[in-house]
Amino acid sequence: MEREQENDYTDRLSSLPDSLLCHILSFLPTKTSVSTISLVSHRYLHLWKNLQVFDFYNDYCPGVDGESEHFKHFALFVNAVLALRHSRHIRKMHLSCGDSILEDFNLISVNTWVDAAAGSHLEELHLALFSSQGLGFYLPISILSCTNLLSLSLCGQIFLELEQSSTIHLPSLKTLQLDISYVNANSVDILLSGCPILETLDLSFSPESLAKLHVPSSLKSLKVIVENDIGACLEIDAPGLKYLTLTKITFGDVAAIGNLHNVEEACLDVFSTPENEYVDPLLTLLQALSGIKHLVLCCSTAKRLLGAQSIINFSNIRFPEFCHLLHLELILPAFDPFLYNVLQKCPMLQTFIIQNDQDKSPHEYGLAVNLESVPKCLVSCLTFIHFKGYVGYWEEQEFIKYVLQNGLVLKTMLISGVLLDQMMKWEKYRFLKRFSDLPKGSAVCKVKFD
Amino acid sequence: MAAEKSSIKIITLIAADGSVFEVEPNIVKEMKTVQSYIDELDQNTVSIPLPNVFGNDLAMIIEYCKKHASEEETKEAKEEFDFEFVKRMKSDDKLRLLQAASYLNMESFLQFMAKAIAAEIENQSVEFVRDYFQIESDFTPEEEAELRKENEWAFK
Repeated sequence: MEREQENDYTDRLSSLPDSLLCHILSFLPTKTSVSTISLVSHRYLHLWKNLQVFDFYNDYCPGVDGESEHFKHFALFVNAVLALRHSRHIRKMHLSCGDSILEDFNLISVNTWVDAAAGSHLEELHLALFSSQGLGFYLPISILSCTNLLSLSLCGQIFLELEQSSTIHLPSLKTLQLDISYVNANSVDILLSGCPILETLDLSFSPESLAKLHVPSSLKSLKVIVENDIGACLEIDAPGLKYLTLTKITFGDVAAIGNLHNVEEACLDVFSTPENEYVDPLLTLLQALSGIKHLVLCCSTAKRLLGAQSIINFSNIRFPEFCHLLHLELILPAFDPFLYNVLQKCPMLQTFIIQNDQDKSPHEYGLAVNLESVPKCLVSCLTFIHFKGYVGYWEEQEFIKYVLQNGLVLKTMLISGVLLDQMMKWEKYRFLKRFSDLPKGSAVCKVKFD
Repeated sequence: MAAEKSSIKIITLIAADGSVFEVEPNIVKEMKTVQSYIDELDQNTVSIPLPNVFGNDLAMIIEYCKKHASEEETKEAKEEFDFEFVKRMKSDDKLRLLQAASYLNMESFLQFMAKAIAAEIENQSVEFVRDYFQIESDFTPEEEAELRKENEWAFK
């Protein structure tokens, strides 16, 4: 009986239908489907010809001789596959080439392949072209009117130059990743205007001048990284947004931000420009995010905040109360008593990570910090604090003392810093002992050094 | 019509070996074959025979569906589950589950299995792939040499 069942299994396996085999092949590099799978048996020989999903990559290691030969073999392969396939529709194409020089032949070849993929059947296009020198690739504009395209990813030496009049019609596009060298913010803005249902935008670019970007209101996840110091100016009105990451972004005016009440996680690196150094737009952004659960404020953001105030008038600025915030990471240029006030604004906080970015002496302030009451989170929910970049200033020690004394549910106080790395073992021991001996509000609290 | 559908409380699935599974309606939503069967009926209890799926496999599929249908689980927890789920399976299990997924018309589970299988045969030799799919080569060495020569572009 068992024997029979085993045979039954084997029969079922060898009769795995072509459609299922092709489904498996569609997750393999095309090279594997064509040159390995085809030799399995006669039945497998022509399976790849039914593929509608292609993944081509030129696995060349730069710096070795015979590079242009190598690309020619790759081009021969791709051309043969595209010419011999039975199905005329391409649903997905991933194409990546890393050559040290992009020559005309390479660019023309890539252009032909991308053009072959363009059409109403295309659902996914991922294009990555990397080279250390030579020309860049101009994206064929035909791609930007593929009505069924769901996911588009462009990385590397790709030019995107769009004008107001360009035809951008991507009514199905949900995911867009742009990580390309040559693009101005204006072209990105034009591209975005043709993506009405975009949900995920992952943008990394070096703009030539500070320009405005309007993101589609359908967005759920937004990640913008500007790679140079020019930055970009953002306008967001996306009621469905849940994840937000901004790097080297500025906000022109208060009206530029709206509808962010659903954001759960954000990482903000928001800088100020000489023309725009007021803290108000940043505070408006923080206020719009007041329902957030997970927040990371980078050094630039803290600088912009701190540049606008000192401890004395903290109560005067409209720093919002984050009633749902569970996890906060704060990167500061140097230790700042601002931390005490922040704690007071986060009543539900569970995890607090502080990082001193530079070895700078802290803001000077009076001997005692004047808090009306112990922050609520310290009393009821803050269990984990990590103090990174500890330098050893008196103000830092006082802060640690304060949270140890008042943290009634604190479980772990982790301290790490440059100074600690350089310490001798016995010094470290003494240091640890000093903190461990401090009076603590929580019996289970452990002080640890990284 | 909508009221009738929502009145179904429990769905009974009967596997090829006769083992019985009772599941809630939201668990079978992903199984389009089962769902279309339910949609055609207007009864309070439904029992559906699945002659092409073995009990062990059906148990695993239900476990997967339960995890993924849960709204309380985070995305990370689901990914962790997927990772462990694939890790404890042998190649035979994956191929059987792939076929079961195809029969039950489960789009995302089918994709998940196909991906897991592809990950195992990627970068492997022809012999490995033959073993994996339990296939005997029907090429003579001469035939294979001929193929390689004729399609030189593919084997560079």
